[in-house]
Amino acid sequence: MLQVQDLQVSLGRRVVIQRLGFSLVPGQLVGLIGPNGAGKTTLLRALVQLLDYAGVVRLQGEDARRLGQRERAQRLAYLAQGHSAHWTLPVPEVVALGRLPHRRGFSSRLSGQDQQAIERALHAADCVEFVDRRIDQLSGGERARVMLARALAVEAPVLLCDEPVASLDPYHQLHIMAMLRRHAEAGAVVVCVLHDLTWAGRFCHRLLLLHEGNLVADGGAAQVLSPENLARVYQISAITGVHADDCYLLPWQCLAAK
Amino acid sequence: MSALRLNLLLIGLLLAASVLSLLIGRGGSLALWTLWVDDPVSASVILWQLRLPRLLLAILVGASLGLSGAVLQGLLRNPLAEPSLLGTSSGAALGAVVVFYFGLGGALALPLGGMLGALAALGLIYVLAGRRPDTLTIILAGVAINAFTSALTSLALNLAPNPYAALEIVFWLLGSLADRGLDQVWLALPPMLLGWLLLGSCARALDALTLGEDTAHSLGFHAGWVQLRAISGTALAVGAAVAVTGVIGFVGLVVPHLLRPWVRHRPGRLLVPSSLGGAALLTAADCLTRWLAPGPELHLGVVTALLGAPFFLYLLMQQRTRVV
Repeated sequence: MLQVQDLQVSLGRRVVIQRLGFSLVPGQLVGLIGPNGAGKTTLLRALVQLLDYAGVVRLQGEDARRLGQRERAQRLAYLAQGHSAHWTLPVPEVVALGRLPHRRGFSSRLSGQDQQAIERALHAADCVEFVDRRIDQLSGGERARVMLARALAVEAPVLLCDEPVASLDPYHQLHIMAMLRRHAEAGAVVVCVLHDLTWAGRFCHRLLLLHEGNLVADGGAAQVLSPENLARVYQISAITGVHADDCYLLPWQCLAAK
Repeated sequence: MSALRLNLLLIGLLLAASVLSLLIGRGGSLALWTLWVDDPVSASVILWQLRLPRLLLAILVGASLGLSGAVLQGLLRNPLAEPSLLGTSSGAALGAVVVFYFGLGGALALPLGGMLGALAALGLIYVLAGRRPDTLTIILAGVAINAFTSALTSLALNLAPNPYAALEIVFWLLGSLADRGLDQVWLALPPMLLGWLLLGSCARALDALTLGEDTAHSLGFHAGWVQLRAISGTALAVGAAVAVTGVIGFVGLVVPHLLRPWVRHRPGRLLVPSSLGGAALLTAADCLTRWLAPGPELHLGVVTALLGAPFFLYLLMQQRTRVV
């Protein structure tokens, strides 16, 4: 579904992503983790073709570079960091922007299919209560949910989210992570940049651990979030435990500097 | 209000202003009515050869200013953007002034000079802003070009061979629709239509840009392409407008800003209403220039600036209170 081979990205003269490769299949929620500056956002931006890169990115078997703008936009949805909205649009209009890759002709009217996708997205991100408000009348966390709904409304087979739950309250963090997991299990590829290792370990089927632009671990939570990896990459230790057959992990302490 | 009803309302306003513009003469005189009874031949000459071209130009120029203002505000995501911000108007003005100055002949020379000036300003923006221009760089490059072309225009005035030449340039710069004929309409129409097409093609991309350039890109809209279409469309439409009428400010700023709440702030949906509103406003302002002044006719650019500048200040104040 999404294959990456020998990906190398430079920002200016600095090589930020070094010869990276992985292949993602539908049905998995993939957590992209790593310390600040590890290259997580850069990797997502390269996958969306926002940055020049060396190597190959294949989307459903086709070279992403060769896909037309519109075709790529239909196959790959991207939730950027920052959640900026420059005009004070009503919430449903913001979510409707996610349908732009599917619109044809000059009519400004949404099709029934578009309307349904918008409804589904508003429900999934728990935004139904804001439909009468404008985007500037929401708190930061509420706005983040609306932006996630916007990305979901594309209904693309691949969804890339940069920190989808960073500004949410605990209820909505749990709600959104569970929803993203269900969304993946329904047949999508979902990649989330996450800083919260507890959520990463609990909800993701697979984790990709980036460190200084290299993919240093790739696999299930138990394997990737090993004490050695946490010490080497994050310089932290964590408490782990088991609750109701699920493993959990709680970052606990900084280790002495290298 | 739905988009359709808003557009119908604006068309109604434009029609009303158009009828007024055809009827009203110097000092608000409606003498054309009585002339029609006494001397229908003269009356029809006045109507077809003086009033109609003037009305058509007001509509074309107003629509160009309103449309490009709406597109630039959407592109730069800034409610204070307007066509002159990019140096297009002052570039066109300089081009026309050069034609004046060197006394180049031919009916085509003046508008052509204006168009070339506008395109040169556009080219300069791209040279100054580099290969991947961002919004701030474009605005700053526009400011620099504005200042430089204005300085060159002043230089032309300074070095003008005689006071009459200087006066002619100054009056032309003030912007006016007086004494324009159908020739000017036909000259301005092709580049304007091309400009409108380019500007109109940006509608959906402007909607997508609401969420920033990265998100717009992920939705299939390449920011560089949108910029190129919006800026060259503005250069063509506004360049042609300035070339036939001189500089008319503030219409491109005020009209999109006034109409934005009525389209629920969707930048793409603002384009048609803003064109209609610009045409209606400029037609009405042109009536005002004839109605207000019993003596020498007021220049249109003077009237729009007199009304527009206080409104601009009001916008700034509102923005400031919102930030605080």
